[in-house]
Amino acid sequence: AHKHPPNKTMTEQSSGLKHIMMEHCYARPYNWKSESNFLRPTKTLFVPQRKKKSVRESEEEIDVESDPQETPLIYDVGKGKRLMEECERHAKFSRNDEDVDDWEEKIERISWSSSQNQMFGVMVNILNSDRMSRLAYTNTHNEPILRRTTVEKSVKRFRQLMAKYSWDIKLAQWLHQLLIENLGTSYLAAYLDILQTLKHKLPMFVDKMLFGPNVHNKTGPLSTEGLFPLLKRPWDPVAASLNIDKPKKLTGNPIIIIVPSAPSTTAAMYSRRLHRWNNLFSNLATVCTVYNNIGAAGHKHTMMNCVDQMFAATRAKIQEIKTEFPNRPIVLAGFNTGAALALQVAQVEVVLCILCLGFSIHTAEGNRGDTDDNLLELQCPALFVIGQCSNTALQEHMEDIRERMRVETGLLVVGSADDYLRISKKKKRAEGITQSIVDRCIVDELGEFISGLLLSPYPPQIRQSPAHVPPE
Amino acid sequence: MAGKVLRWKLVSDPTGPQPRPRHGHRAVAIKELMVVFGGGNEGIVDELHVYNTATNQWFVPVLKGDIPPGCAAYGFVVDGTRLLIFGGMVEYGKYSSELYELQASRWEWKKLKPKAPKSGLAPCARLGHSFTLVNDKVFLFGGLANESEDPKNNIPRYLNDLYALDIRSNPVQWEIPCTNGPCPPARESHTGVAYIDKTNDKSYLVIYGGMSGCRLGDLWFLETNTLCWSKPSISGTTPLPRSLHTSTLIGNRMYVFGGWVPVVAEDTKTSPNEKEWKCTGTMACLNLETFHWDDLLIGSFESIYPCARAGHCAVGINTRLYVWSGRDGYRKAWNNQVCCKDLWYLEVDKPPQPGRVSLIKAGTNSL
Repeated sequence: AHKHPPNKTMTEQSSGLKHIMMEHCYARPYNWKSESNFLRPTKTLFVPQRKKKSVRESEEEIDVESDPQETPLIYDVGKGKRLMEECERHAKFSRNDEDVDDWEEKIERISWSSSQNQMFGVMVNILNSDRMSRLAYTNTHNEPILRRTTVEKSVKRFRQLMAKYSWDIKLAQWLHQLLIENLGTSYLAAYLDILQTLKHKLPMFVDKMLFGPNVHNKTGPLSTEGLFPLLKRPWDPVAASLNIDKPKKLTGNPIIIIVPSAPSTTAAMYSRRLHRWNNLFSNLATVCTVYNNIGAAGHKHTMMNCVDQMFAATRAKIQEIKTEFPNRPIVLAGFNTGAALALQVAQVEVVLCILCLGFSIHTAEGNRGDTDDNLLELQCPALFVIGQCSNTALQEHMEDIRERMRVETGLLVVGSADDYLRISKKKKRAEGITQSIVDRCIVDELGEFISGLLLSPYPPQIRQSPAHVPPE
Repeated sequence: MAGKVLRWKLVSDPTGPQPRPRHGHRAVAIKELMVVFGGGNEGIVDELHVYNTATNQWFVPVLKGDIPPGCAAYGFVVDGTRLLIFGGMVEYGKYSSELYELQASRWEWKKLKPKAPKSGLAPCARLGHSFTLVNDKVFLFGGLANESEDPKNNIPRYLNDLYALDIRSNPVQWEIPCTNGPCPPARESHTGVAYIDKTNDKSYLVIYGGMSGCRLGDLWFLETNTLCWSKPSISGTTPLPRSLHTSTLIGNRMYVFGGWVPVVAEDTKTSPNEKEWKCTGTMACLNLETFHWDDLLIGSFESIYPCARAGHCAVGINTRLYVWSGRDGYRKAWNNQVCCKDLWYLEVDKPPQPGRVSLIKAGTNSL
């Protein structure tokens, strides 16, 4: 009675297969091993897949004639370009003269100190290389993102320059005034871009730099007042697109508690990155931060004291949420030190899962995962996110610790990222991405991890302690 | 009965350990108990839950013996307190051809090793088949096999083979019944019910619907004594073809609920030859005495009825049809399928007069 349907064409079969996969999606994908149910396969973000190169392939002809295939861009390029050109427009508007390339020679270096001479020399180098890379990327496929990367590199070099002169505000004010007065239009645009990004990172320093004592032009587009609206909003070509396509809300109404990484002494001590993470998390679920202001007397506390206080504050917050919303699952999220603290808190408080971003294996008292480390006895699922180039967590070490843990764990490795999950400039340029795209992708993975736990037909399971095998 | 409005009732507050939502699970009824096993969503479930409809309570019995691995879209039959499971998905892309028995009186599992049929091979590993007990024989029909050994590489093959397993014999042995007449085409995620026609003492295996690249809505009857396949003409309003639905026999009627149905031309704006499907929450009722699709009047008052779903489970207990969980259409939370977590019942007929024993029981329990 065996009757096979006639052979179908390939396309028909693959679409049929897609349907079968969709309708019978009961199991986790094939790289789940049933014996290692507790170890979710490691995921990577922006890590190039190693291709097996056969000898034959390397002998293949290289196509040099046809245009290379351009990957579709994920953002509105027109909008991105408009944003990118904002500083240029401002520069053009403020300079009526022709763009001059010999601006540098026109400056009379009379009665300059050696520091001034050196500082100016480095600044010229920064602006020159900025100019070069701008020209190199003009009208390329992914210009806004490449430009963004260029600006960030110049800002980094500018900060290094300022640091070299111990952030001497007088020198900085002098340099700023000199550049504003003498730069040619295109160089001025580059400098404004640098200022704009720097203002976002070091608002106080830039303010002081702009309000120098010898400010000549009190009005006009290049005065402090004229620059203010421009510097207020650094541009990001993908921000608008990321805003439109926000991460979806999680089902099951969980609450994400951000475990602090450091005690805060003033309310203003709140990093912009953390702020961005908070915004991203708030798309997934309700976000709660732990208030742990230890006040102005903070410097009198020992490190242990501070950690104890942060620990107690986090526990108090969890208790508070549990009484207020008894049925909502709680997720702990921590960055770097906060990740370690979250793991510690989860030893004594029942939570749905922990998200450890930028987890560090190294501690003052040796590496994590030693036999007496209570991390191995953790009772709730955890997702570790580390940078591929992190100094504090190697992927192999993480895998080793995960194998010995009793709960379901996940590991996400972010390609070329450091301890703080920041990706390198080279990576940004190669992949045509920005840090905000990376952060967003990380949050997507976090969402999937939480959602998987919430929707799994199993409650999270705990395996027998591999560290403490009970005697027979 | 006809013309009476039926109303779905949501069982809102069952006690005991609640099973997590899932799809691809199956359920059978032992008296007033609903036994649910397997299924999955983000992992195949190996848990067994029992819902007591009389006490509105879930419980998890302590199981012993050769506990089977979890499976989804498998076959599940009950004979008294003896339960049999066959096949299903046990891991991603990996299907089973194992047969297990659960003795519910002791909650003891046993792996059975049925003998191969006299002619031919034992049934291959599969999912989405029908596994139906008609009198003393379990009929296995169709399903989906994976031609490839490698679970990563799925080469699907729809089946239309028929096997029978005499559960009275020991050890059990597969048979390949020699059927007469044209047999139903290959399919998976169809349903099979047993119908015994007392007036002329004939027993039937009724195969309905399924999937074979497109949804099927055909009905096939196998007369289990003569082994004659027939495709009788059915009057009444034919429901939409479907798969991953449930068909439950209560009295002489087969109640079909949910599943995937094609999106009919009226409510789609896209090209008609594009294949589009949706889950349904509709109910159809086939009267097996009259071969007529009866019209059911389901009260949609206050919109209290189960949402559209597929891959749910359904059992008939007395005159009630119980439905639990199942996938919520295409709805996904992130990349994970969302499943319904609700339990419903529909009273399809007037409950029978309580017997003397149950009256006494009720009386003593209230003391």
